[in-house]
Amino acid sequence: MTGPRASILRGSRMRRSRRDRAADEVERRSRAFVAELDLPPVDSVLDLVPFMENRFGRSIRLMPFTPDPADADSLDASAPCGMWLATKTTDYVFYDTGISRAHAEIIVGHEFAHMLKRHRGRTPAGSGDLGGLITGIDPSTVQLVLGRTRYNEPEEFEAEMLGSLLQEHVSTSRTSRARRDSDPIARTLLR
Amino acid sequence: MKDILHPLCLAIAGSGFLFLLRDLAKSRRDRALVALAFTYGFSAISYAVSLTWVWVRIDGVFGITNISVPLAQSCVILVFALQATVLAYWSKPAAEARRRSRLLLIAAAVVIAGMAVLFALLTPATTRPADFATYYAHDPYYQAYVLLYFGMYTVAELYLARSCWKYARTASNPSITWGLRLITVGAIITLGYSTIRIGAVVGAEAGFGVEHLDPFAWACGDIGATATQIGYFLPTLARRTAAARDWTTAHLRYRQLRHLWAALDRADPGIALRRPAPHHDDLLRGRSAHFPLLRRRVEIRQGQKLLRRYLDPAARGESETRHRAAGRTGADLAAAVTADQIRAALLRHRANDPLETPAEYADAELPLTTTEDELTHLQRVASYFTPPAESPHAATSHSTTTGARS
Repeated sequence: MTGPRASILRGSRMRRSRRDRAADEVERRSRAFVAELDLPPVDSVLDLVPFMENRFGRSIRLMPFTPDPADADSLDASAPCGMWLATKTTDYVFYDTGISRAHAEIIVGHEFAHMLKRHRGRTPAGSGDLGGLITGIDPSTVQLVLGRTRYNEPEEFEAEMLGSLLQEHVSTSRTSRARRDSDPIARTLLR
Repeated sequence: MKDILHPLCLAIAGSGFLFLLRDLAKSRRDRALVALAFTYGFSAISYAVSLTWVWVRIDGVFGITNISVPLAQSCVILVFALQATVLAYWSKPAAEARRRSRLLLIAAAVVIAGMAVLFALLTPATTRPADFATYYAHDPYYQAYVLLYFGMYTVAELYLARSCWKYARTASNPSITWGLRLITVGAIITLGYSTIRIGAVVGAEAGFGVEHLDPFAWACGDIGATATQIGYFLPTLARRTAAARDWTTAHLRYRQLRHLWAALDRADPGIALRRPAPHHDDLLRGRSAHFPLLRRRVEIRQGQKLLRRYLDPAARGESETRHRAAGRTGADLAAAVTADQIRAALLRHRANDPLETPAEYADAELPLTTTEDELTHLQRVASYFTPPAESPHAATSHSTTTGARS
């Protein structure tokens, strides 16, 4: 094939290839990052809270919420399904439990990834951007709220990748790796 | 008999040694694994030098008749010391196991030295690769040699059998239990070999012969030792088999979820973290589908989330009535209705016709406590799901909303 159409196809393949290479690089870096974290064996991403608290010396509050079916806006595609809000001493992680428990874990993993990578977002959102989720937190104490962005934002892409790898860690640590490591016979014979 | 069994045993011990060398590259600090690797290595050497044509060549190279006997049996003594070292690392603190290991190797060296002296006192006249033991049974030095070597052999195999039987009772994994039991059985079988060899020496003094049992002795020695070696590998073999099964299952599931994911991805490409690579490429390159499958599950759920405003209560009611009439109940009913809801919501999404008071998904109340539960459920949903026909305007009606979270 020759002419402009062939050129467009080649260009499209090259662009896709560049994107894929960049995504591969983020995945490689994220995997290395997770390996260095020395995560404890856990049964759920939610169980990583003590690890996160120890790492940052801050308390973490998990704030599950379920969108109200009567409130159409809360079901809108643009409504946040997760959010990290930081005050001086506490990190609040809001997550949508309306789909499933496993999906909620991915949302929490995504927010943990923002914390682990010390993402700060581009524009801290004001208290008016919190979608009515937050009650009982003084807006004047809020230091950081990551605005909702897309996967094509580098920080969002990285957080989603890392959040997924945190859940992958959970599923592999469930396969009794810890027990294997602590049992000398298993360590030798189960390779 | 020996020339039939020894090559087979050599192949098993040699392959085991090579596999363990590869594993050692990943965990050199595991001293039990190092000892186990050398167990296979020395075992392979003992079989190799006992092959008739190798035996004859070695005699020629060293210029000492039947030198292969002490060479092979010295390797076996080292195998016993190393096996006992492995057991020490399994049962004792590292420092104590190291001390025990040193003592075992010193003891092995003393026994080997004793065997060498006694062998040097023998007056072998001709090369005897097939019947060395029975030929020299009347020689007093050989009798002392046999009592030293096979005495150690019997003690070591009894210790191995007893220890593995004990550890099998408290093993943390069924494949380890079976592996340790097989080692025990193998060690007990090898006692037939040592008993016949000691019996030949005793018989030479007491006036009975065991020459007719020679093939049986080789069989006991080789089959028992091979069973032991397979026993050490059984847990890894079971684990690798399970990993291969998991690899295949992940690819099958990834494929089964494809049409459901693709329909949601067409409605909103933003659910995908990255464009998936062609599945056959991953298969051909032997790549695992575990992470792509995790993403596919997440992205399907994200797609469901983005369709929540398009869930028509009437569509859910009609679907429930139809599937109940077909006899579906419980999780199966929830999956079938959810599949219908997704299809109806996709059509409504395409028409940009959200609802003010949408329904909930039929699967919202299912107790899917683990990711495995969720995968099984989504497979069920996918099995009921029929994607809506492609819209002629599909290319332009894609939403640009992404499923990203803050």
